[in-house]
Amino acid sequence: MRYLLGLGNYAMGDDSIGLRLVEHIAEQCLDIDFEAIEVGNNGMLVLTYFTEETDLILVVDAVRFGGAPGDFTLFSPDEVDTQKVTGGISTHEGDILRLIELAKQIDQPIPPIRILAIEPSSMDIDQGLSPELESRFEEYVQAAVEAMRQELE
Amino acid sequence: MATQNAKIDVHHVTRVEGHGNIVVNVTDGTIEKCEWQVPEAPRFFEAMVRGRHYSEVARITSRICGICSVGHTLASLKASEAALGIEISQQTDLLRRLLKHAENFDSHILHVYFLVAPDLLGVPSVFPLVPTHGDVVKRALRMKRLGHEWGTCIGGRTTHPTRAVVGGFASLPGGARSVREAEDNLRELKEKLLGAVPDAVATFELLGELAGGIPPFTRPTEYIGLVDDKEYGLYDGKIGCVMPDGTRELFEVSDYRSVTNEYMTDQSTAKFAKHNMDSYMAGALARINLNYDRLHPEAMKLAEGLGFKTLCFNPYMNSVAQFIEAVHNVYMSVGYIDQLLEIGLKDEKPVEPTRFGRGVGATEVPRGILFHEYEYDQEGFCTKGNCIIPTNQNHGNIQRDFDALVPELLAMDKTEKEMELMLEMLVRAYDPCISCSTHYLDVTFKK
Repeated sequence: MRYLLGLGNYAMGDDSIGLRLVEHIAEQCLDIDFEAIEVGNNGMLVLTYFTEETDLILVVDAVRFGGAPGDFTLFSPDEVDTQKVTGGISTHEGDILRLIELAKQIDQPIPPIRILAIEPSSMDIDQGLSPELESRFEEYVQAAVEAMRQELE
Repeated sequence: MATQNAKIDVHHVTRVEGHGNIVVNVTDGTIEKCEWQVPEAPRFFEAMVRGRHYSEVARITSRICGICSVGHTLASLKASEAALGIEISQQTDLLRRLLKHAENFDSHILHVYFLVAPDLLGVPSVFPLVPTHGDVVKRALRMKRLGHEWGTCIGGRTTHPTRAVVGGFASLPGGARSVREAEDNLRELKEKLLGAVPDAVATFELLGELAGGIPPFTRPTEYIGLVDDKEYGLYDGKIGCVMPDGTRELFEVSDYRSVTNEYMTDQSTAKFAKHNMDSYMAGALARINLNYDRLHPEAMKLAEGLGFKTLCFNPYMNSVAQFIEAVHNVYMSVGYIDQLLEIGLKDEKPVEPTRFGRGVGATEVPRGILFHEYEYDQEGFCTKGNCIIPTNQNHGNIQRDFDALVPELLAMDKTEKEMELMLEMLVRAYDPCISCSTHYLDVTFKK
């Protein structure tokens, strides 16, 4: 099974990009050959998809990777180092890299994981996306669907 | 000699769901400031539902919280159904109870194991536990996975469930194409639930070992939660209130505003609530104080084994109450499945509205009692909405606990660090779910 997971918080501006993207893909029925799931801020949920049966996880999330606001890139977790200092895992502190680290430490299966990273402009309290991300939303949708399909070929 | 000076400024308490600050200033033995601050902004969900059709409202309001999205969905559906004159079937009622218990279990396991246990084991997070308590971490993840599979089987998914709709369910358990397949899915779920009993027993033993680390602080307060005449109040019931002297009151859900009495304070952007006293507690401890006699016998056995007695006035015991509830959730759900299989599943269509008006719905989410209220026009479009979440109901009680606890800690000559930890643990015990959590990534590419 293949999963497209959207992480984020609707109330925190561009942090919601993963959620909005996955929601849009599901609404448009573009998730024909994969499952699109809004993980939201329930980050620990991601670990439940770490099974032998999972062929691919594509995580869509706001990521500060040094791009211009609205830029996006695709990478594997082992291509990056985290710069975030966190005390542990909760919906507030955890991120996908920390969850992968935890799964490795307890010998949980790690399926192939890709991350569609979108550089946020603002993650302040805001119910909408910044203009930079809003204007490129369709590009992200295409990139996510293509990434899921490419991996399937 | 009591502590004379302390300055605590915890900007964003860790291992809670969102942002909350602890600020304490003590100079020459005088407490100048002692505050639980929540810098949370209004989220306007009530405005978002205005103008939306009743079929869309629960889907929107489930987004209020990623952890309690099942509860928000159910409270929303109940409010809409009350407004639309819809009576749900017994099958829908039982399936919703199953879904509610799944959410409660899932959230409690996350809280007890990942957010509270590190305090009791003296480590800052779950990571240092891997080398020393790897089996505990694996068990926690196993139980978390069960919660996920349980919720997914009934609701389609655990976060923002898709199958629960106004008037019933959009599809059968497990997304089955036939009643027979759905019943098989329920049997499979029952086996998984019963398979979790050894993990529950192991958790009970672990809690027994760690119980000595739970601070002995007590402060009598008022407790508010659902009281169901059929069973332990979780999915449905009236609003129950128990006072420190054991006096009890019941209120209709439609009168919720007379119980919550929300008000603004200068120290927080989130609203506070009060009822008979100047604050009250909602959540697992409140529920168990109100419903102890209705716990499943197996859960009650564990509660007795842990020495749990009601009325319990120690807010730190909320985490223990959560574990007792998690066991209750498992056994009650096995019973619901048996009932569903006994009456025989049917491929029911959701019930249609019979009128359009105002309605209130209440259910318990892991952190306490939750209220939704809507009004619909004659075409089924929402004209007004109101949601009162449990974390806001608890802010006032956290503050009152601070007010009582800080002088005790000073008198015990605690250091700033010790005081800080005790206050953080207190906040974590309430399992607050504050809406401003983010968990974006911040990375650099390897060369």
